[in-house]
Amino acid sequence: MKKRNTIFLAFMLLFFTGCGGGGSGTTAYVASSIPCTLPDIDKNNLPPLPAASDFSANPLYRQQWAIHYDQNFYGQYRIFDDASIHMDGDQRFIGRSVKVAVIDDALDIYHEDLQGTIVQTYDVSTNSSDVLPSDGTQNHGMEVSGVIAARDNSLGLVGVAPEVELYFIKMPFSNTVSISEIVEAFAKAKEWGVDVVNCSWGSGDVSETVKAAIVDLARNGRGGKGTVIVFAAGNGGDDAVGDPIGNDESSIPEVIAVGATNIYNQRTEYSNYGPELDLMAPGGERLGITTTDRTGVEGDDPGNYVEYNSSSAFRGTSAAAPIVTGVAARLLEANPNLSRTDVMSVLKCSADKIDASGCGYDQNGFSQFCGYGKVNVNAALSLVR
Amino acid sequence: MVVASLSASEYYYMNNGKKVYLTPQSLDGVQTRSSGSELRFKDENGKEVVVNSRLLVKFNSTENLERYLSAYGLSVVKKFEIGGGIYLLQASSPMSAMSAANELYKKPDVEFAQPDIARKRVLR
Repeated sequence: MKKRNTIFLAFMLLFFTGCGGGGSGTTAYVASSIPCTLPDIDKNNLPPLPAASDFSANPLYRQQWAIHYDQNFYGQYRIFDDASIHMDGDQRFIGRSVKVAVIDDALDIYHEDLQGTIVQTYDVSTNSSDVLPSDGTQNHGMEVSGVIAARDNSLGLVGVAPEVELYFIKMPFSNTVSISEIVEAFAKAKEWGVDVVNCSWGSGDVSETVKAAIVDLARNGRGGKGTVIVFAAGNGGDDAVGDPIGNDESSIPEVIAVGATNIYNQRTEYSNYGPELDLMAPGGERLGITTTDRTGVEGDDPGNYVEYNSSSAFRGTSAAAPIVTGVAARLLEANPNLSRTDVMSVLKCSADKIDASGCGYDQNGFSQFCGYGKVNVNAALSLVR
Repeated sequence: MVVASLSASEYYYMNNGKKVYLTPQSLDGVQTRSSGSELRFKDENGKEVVVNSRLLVKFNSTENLERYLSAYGLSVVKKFEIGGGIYLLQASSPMSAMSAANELYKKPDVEFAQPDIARKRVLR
């Protein structure tokens, strides 16, 4: 039975001063209650509770600070205790049967950590299924896909939602991208019936035509429940200092605009901001986000992974967005009844109000610099079952 | 057939009801009127914009579609089944595509029309 819930989540607002993090600085916690109104959540006929997974056999898991608290690793790098998205604990909902599309530059479909997850692929330029990298710069799609979907297979890392069905759409980011190519990408996502779309890119000047395609998918995808569309909010300009989001794809109200946090649980300096911002997730700054790389010497680093401390480490709102995409997939496995607006509301209501002094939340719990706060997996899941 | 032409001061396309002015990267007026496959401009923010010979149109009603195709020398490349149905149309040249889009934008049975502009999209 549906019922309207107004929840008052007690947030631990962190006031953090000094550098170093991980307990080395001066910290104080102030509890605050901010009202958050949830829509009616349909909790009828939910799937049974699956068995919990244990990701510890994946050798790179300990360094995945964004999603996992490893005491030794956190201590070694003086990472603030709350820097992760609080995914530890009950790993039951890991994206099973949820269709996630990634629109990006290319995908190494032979990567060991993505075996069994890729369902369909499409290149909007060639109208073929070949999405392999066509030049040496095309590593971004691999990095994004690994954050979402790297399998729990004891080989490398584990994605936020390692059991999703991955759909990959290649766009020609090495060159210019036309409006029709973007429209085709979203039309393909609609045709495939995907549940979530990740877009770790943007134009800063979204066209009316692209906006119409995105809004249609967001409102009418998933058989009318709406497709969850996640966009990276952007990393500022050449000065690496965040800029206003402006007329960007991420500014569309029907999408989730994601900014980036660092190991100190603060907004990164590069993260774009504004009234359009929705949520934050770890994107890395000094330490990056460990993820998949093109296999062998073709990628950013030798081997099959690009790790947190590499000079080529994956950082940016591009890394933060797929974390939110993975969390959305977890929610949709836990409760397939959720609409797109349900998912957006749940994520906002359950987000951690990080760095209260730096972000400056208003009476509605919103900040132009940090949106509604940093995504919290366990808190979000608790609202949908 | 309506002859589509734009003067040098009228290089623009419509977005959200506003004109977005473009500056030709080549000042050669002959080149910008050529039937080459694409033309390069800079937008108001100095970003490079490539205009090809296609345009995208969303019709509120397709009752006059054939008439518009004939009037502006256009043909249907495909219809995207998204956004309520968005048509990708082929024109004879980039300038014809831009001009036709701007003319169609004014029609009451057209929700929007834009040249199929290509620009750099930034991975983040």
